[in-house]
Amino acid sequence: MAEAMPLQQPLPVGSESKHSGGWWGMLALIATEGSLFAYLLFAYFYLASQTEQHWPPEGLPILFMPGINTLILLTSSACVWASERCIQLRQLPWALASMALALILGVCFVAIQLNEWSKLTYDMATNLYGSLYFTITGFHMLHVIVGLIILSALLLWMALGYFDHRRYAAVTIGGLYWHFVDVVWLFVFTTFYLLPYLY
Amino acid sequence: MVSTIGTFVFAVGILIFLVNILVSLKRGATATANPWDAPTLEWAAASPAPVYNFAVIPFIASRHPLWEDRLDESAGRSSLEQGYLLMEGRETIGTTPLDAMPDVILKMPDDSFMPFFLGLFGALVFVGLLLHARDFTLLMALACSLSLMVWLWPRKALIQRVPDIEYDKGVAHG
Repeated sequence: MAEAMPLQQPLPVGSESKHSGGWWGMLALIATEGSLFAYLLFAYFYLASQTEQHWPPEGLPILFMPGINTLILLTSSACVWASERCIQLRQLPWALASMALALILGVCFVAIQLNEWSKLTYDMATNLYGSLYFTITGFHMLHVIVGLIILSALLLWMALGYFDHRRYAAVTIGGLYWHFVDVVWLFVFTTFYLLPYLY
Repeated sequence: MVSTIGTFVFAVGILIFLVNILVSLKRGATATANPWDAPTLEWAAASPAPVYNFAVIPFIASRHPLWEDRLDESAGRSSLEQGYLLMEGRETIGTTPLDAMPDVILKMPDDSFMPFFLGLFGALVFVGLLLHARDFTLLMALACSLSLMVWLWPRKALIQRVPDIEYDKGVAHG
């Protein structure tokens, strides 16, 4: 059970990336929000399996713009990762540029997604599929908007010179959230755009 | 009749308790820090306990830290006298989740008004939703995120930002 306790071992002090309280807090948040999306997607699959309607009612979705949007979001996540790497490598200007690019790509995602919504012939109240589509993509959109606020804060704090190669826990934690939002989108995208082609 | 008997039995019980207090006040040895020779940590403090309980954060190696020499159930020994002092501001120790090994010295934040404002604006978001006041709701949601941002603003005191001091100073508190 227990080993000898090394008393002389120096410990890191303060918010030390993956040792910090914020890192564990973000993991807890991801566990709860991940559960939320798991419930929502379960609701989709359950209702789709029970319905008598033609599914999806409007026929197969067009993949082109949502596909590009998915690539945009993935690139944005890669930029956040690159930004963190640049801080570790003491390349602060590149870290700033990368984070700014991530933010711009995130805004592009929201704009394209809003445009996609406006092109649809159904809304939240039209039918079962519409309710599911807008509830799930709407919840994801909310998470993206929260993520954009987080990325803006990180960009501001970086520009103010708060972080260097030793202290950047906020970037690690905020980045983790953004990667999570990205992974959730992959599930949502697969559910609404790819899987209908398989059945 | 039964309840009358019960009353007297109850009264005798309380009387014994009062007699016990009086007798104990007059006679008998004062209790030591660990009169029952109990094994757990709370009995390791002096009696009466000092306000800080332990001067250092003790290391605990088993379920029975005060009986380790007698039980000899594990190789490790708890250390109550030696440990992290944590005297530079509000600090506490963070441990690994499963083994509870010391992992990081966490800086604890000072008091803040931001949780209050977050709660206030959060409540007003729902008031706005109830009144179907879209712009007001959005404004309050914005105020919520601003409060959160101020709350989470990286602070030098918590070493969330690049500190003023030289690195490698203040790393080892052991």
